[in-house]
Amino acid sequence: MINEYYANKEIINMMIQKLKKDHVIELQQFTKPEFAQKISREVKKLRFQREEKLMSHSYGYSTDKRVLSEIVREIIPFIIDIMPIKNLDLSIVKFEHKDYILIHEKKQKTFILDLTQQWSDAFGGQTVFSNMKGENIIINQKFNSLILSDDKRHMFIKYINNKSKKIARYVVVGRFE
Amino acid sequence: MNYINPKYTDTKKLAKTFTKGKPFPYIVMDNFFDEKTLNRVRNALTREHYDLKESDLFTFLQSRDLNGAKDKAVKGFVDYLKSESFIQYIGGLTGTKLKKGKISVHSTVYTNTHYLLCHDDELDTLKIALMIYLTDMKPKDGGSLRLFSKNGMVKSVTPKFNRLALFKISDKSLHDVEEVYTDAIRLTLGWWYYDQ
Repeated sequence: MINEYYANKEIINMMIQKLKKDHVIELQQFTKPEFAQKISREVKKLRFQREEKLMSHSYGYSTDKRVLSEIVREIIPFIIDIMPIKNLDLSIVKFEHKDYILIHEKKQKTFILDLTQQWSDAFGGQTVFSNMKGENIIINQKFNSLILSDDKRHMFIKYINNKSKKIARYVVVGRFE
Repeated sequence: MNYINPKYTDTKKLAKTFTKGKPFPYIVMDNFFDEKTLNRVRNALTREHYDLKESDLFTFLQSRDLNGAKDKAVKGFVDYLKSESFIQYIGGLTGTKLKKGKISVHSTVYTNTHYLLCHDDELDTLKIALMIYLTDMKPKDGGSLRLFSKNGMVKSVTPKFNRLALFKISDKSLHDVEEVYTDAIRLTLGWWYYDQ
């Protein structure tokens, strides 16, 4: 169900090269629109468990097997073509006002599929990859985009501020070796 | 030259309050400095240039290091904060030996959506963190300094003009600045003293 544009060997080779060079790639309109919309609807119905660790992160998460198995079936084969996946830790994450993820000491290979249809950059919640030398790659939220990073940069999610009101941001996050 | 409100000159009494502070040694003192002097400093700081500072931990506006301030009121006040007598006063109050003549000092502005997430300030040889509030805010505005133990928030300090808050830096000094939820302006002067 991924966008056919990305299922092309030349494009995949380009992405492998870009990932080597920049350590982060963003693929917009990654899946077919109907797939992203269907998953997005399903995700909104899930129950999320809150996890708040002051010096690390604050968010809700779900490991709903039905949604994640669809992600594994449709998206993982594509990612494996770009980089090998070992020990995948997969979850659906819901960010609301006051949520965030701080930089962790351990850098990990990561993919993030965005499933939020209603969002504004003014709410915060940007995905940022830092080399810890003041150079940040800041990625604003886009529905149905896939962010893929190697383990050369630290990732964080900016604090979600009060402008977001009751709007939530949903993503599928995969961390792997 | 002494800008301290005379009611705060007995450091022995204040030291007891400081040491007993929970979740870690801290003290909050209202109307701490001479009001006229602080008003001049506040007015000068509203004319300072501020840069947006952002990281995983924070978003706020910050001045340059005010050790190099040219404005007469700000320079005079920073010199006072660096003076032997004031550093001795803070050293006596906190029971710490502080490095003479050395401080890091910045003015910060927080407004709607700005915040500083929880951290401990434990860097290099920083020993005491201090901030003087230069604007009034209401609890609904946010912007409070909040002190945490491992189990959660223990103390919240709402910004109020001429309120001084200071605490001892250690791996236990977990604190944050609550997000500002309104268009209120939170202007502070913050500085740190170093270990001798």
